[in-house]
Amino acid sequence: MAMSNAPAVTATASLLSALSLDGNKGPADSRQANGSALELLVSELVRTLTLATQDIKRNSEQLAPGLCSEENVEVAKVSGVLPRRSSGTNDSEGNSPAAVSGWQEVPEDNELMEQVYVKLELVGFRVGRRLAERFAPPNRRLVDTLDIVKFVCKDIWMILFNRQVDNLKTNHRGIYVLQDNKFKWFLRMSGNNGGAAAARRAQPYIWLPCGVIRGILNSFGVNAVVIAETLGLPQCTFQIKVISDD
Amino acid sequence: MKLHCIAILNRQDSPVYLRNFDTPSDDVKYHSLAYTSCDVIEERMASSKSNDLFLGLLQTVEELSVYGYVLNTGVRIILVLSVPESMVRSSSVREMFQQIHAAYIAMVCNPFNEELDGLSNAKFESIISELSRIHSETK
Repeated sequence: MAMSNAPAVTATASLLSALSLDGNKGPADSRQANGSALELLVSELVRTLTLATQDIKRNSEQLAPGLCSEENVEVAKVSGVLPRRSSGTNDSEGNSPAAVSGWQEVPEDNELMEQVYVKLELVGFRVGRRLAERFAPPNRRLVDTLDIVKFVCKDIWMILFNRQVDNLKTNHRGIYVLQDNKFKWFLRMSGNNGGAAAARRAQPYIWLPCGVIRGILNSFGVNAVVIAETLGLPQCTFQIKVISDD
Repeated sequence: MKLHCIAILNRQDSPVYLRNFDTPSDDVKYHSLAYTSCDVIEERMASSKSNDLFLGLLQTVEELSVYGYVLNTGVRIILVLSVPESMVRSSSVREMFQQIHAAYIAMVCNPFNEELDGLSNAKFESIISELSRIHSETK
């Protein structure tokens, strides 16, 4: 290590004094972020990822026709092998109005939404892994899977949504059901099309928390599959199926 | 008390970080010390009912004492100290572990770290260097 002169020594000394674990910090030291900022960010994230995936899909469809002759492509489209251009009429430049005027409706395209699901879930997974490291209790040990799921229900939900999960059910054989009756990100959504349509439009917003839960469990050595569903805003249910422990 | 080595291993006992404050040729010695300490850690965790992340003294080899600390996420931190006249309070070792833990969290949360294994980061290195500097001066 290089010889340090006086200012450098004090700089590095303050590095250490700035470090402390959550358990040791007083309430004045803890820093918080505005929950609304997270909600706004997530809604933009969902929209941006969907539009970007739509773009990528449209561009790859434009490339594919170059590889085969035009009539084959037309035949393939008519017979349903290649998906048609995304829903909505095209204006003269061939741009779908959805891309120009903003995303109005969840695209009907299931393949597209699957790709969006994969991306959102992966983002959630990476966030979950970091959340687990950051917020795992520094003064006690989480012993079994139930402890870890309770940590998710209480501590992580409190951090993300400022409330706890309403109901936790388990069959003690690796299935956990988390029920949140007033899911924070749904509270500001109104569905004037009725329950089922609104619930479908809200789907992408629970894909991110699915990934977060999976990422957290993975950090603690629990491999699981997390599925979410909503039967009606603002309620939603997350189901954790443990595949393997540790 | 002098700090000789800090090692961080992940849940699968593979090394994530190892910093040796003696000569570079001692690297091999500290690697093997870290691996043998892993077995002791497994034993301690299986047998101990304590709720603590700090595992205490794991083993002593010649004049070196090896202390261990296991995070909830399974990451193991191992400190190798040489303690003259066996005068070291476990609270000061625990405090060192907590500082390393906090620095580790800061490094993991850095979004520019692609993988959560195989870590190295200028700020983390400077914190570790500072720790070794502090603990090589005290008698």
